[in-house]
Amino acid sequence: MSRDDHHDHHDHGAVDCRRLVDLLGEYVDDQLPADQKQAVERHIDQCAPCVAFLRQYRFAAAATRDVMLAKVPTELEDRLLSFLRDRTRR
Amino acid sequence: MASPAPPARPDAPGDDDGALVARARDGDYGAFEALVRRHQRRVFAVALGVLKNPAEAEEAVQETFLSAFEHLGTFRGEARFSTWLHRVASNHALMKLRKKKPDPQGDLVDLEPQLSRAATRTEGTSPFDALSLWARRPDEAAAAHEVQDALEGALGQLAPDDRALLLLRSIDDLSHEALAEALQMTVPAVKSRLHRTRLLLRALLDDRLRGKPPPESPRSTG
Repeated sequence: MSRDDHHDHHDHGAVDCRRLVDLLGEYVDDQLPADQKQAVERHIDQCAPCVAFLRQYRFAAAATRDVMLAKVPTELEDRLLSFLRDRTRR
Repeated sequence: MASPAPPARPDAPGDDDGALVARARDGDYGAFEALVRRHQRRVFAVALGVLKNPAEAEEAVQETFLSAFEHLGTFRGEARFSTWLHRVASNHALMKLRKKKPDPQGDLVDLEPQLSRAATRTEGTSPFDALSLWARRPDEAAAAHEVQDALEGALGQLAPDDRALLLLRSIDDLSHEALAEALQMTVPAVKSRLHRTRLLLRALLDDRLRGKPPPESPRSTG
């Protein structure tokens, strides 16, 4: 069964797969009212594809942090402090 | 006679940004340097994510902290220092980007077709461990070079404003309210845009890990 079939024909209660995608942003940011949060979690408990989708959604955003921070040059702090001392006449 | 400014101290545990700003405003240069040390890595990471060029990102960081130093006297803590700092940093980075010619790698994607597929294809098998892990346990796939490269490429396909929004949230953990203040948006607009950007990034990363070529008809998402 394709993911689209899954979306079209299954509904695990108050929140179906499409509705879950709409609510993911507020869910991961802990902004949903308690009843909607519980409905999302009931759906996730029963829907393996949505568990995978949620993990990927969280991962893609969170991993950008590690990828970008890994690119900070180790000498940046020293160069920056030196630049600022020079420009502020310290 | 006014008492002299207290001697410079390193970034002491327990000193919050507000206390360091107050000391820096009173002439304690060590407190200013403590603020620089505390925030410089995250400011650079956001600038690099927006500009995609390390030298330009470092310039943006220099300009940001110089501006912070020059404006310490007017900063009265009505906004969190980090929010103020990141607003200045993202503005510097976005202004630098707008002054440049269009990105020759300009492969920004049309948002709607990507989002229409955003909820599809999480299942399937692959001969590649990274893709298999991405499908089952994305957190465990993070160390794979293929995943890091794909993530960087996917991030580069987002519109600059969306990159700034996503990075300020993921790197600096700014609240929706702080993001709205930093990027001059409403809170509902921040929530909506952030969600769409995360969906798009997931879809682009999924495409790249599955070996799908970049979109053929690039255009900015505006």
